[in-house]
Amino acid sequence: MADEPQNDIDFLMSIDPLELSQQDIGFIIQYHRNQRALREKGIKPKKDKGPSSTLDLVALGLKPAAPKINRRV
Amino acid sequence: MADTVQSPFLPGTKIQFAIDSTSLGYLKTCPRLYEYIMIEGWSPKDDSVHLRFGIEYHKALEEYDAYKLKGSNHDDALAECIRLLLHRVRDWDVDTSHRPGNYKNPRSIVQLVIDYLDHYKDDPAVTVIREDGTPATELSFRFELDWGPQYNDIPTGDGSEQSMPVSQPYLLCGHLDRVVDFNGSIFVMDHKTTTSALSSYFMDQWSPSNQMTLYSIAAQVILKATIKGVIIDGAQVLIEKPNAFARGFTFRTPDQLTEWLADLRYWLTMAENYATMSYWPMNDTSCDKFGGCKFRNVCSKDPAVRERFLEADFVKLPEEERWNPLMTR
Repeated sequence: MADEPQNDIDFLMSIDPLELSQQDIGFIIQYHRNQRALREKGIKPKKDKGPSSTLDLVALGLKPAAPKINRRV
Repeated sequence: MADTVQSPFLPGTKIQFAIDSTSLGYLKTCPRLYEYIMIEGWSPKDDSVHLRFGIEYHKALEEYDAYKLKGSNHDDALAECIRLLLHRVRDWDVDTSHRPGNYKNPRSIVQLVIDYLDHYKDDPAVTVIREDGTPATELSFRFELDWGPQYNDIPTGDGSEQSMPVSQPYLLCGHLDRVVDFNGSIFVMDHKTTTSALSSYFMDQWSPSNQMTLYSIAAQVILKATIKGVIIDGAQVLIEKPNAFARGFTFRTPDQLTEWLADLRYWLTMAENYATMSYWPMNDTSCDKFGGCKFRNVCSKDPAVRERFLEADFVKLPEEERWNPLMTR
């Protein structure tokens, strides 16, 4: 199996497919074949994290909540 | 959706004369389910994900077949069908934070089509070529029965009664995904996508089966050939494991087809009675079937508040967007 495409698959899949070259379509297909091969080996696909999920509270002018108080009963 | 599609109901009535396996299946499962979907047009809010996924899957496999028939090799046919698929799903916006969208989205349909076509690259089931040279894929069928609704003096809703001529026979309608030659016998092939395991439990549900028996009859009518049965072409959509594929066979004898048609007369007579009385009773032994009816949460409520629960979880489709057996693909 060929190496995973170097192109950004998200970028390729965001372009109008009618404007993609044969090679681009080939990369997309190869990418999905590689994904299948990884799953067949038991390697879970990486989850799409989307936009950064970390929040910079200080930059937002917020302060972290006070630490939880454990009361003894 | 086309705006000129004829209504499947006789004018001015709730008597459905154009029948497909989906609407007949609702009726057989539970008349109230039939009423909610076919008469009132309620549709679950997440239903569109499953429907769109199924449509794109069928369309992609059909296009691949067409390219192969034109002489393309596997890789070229796959590339072209993926190009067209990407084009169609480019603007498909799916909420992947919920289970349906997590399994069924633009990424997963592309993965499934590539996996399926690679898996069956050397498919032992060969698409039948029709007399006109076209492949027997995505065949819409529509044929008349030699009998129709028997109603007379249908209440018009305004207090008067109106006699209408009984000239419209019942129509049986539907779509065959593919007709194939498998080891010298002719079968209908029906593509099924599921997130469930393709176990014997999955395959056993197709015999007896309203849908598969109708398809066996329809294929005989369309192709004028003896059909042995239906091949269930199952595809299991998975996220962390590779997609899985399996086929199962369900056979029908001529006597079984005759029996189904005889039963159909009784079912459609009942449907006509429900429509005449404008009342579709609940079959409360079906609520737990197939993982639970989608209207279970509605029917379990007091009749006085059901409408509110319907409006919360369902959308009422305009008539032109409702399920219509006369709609061709």
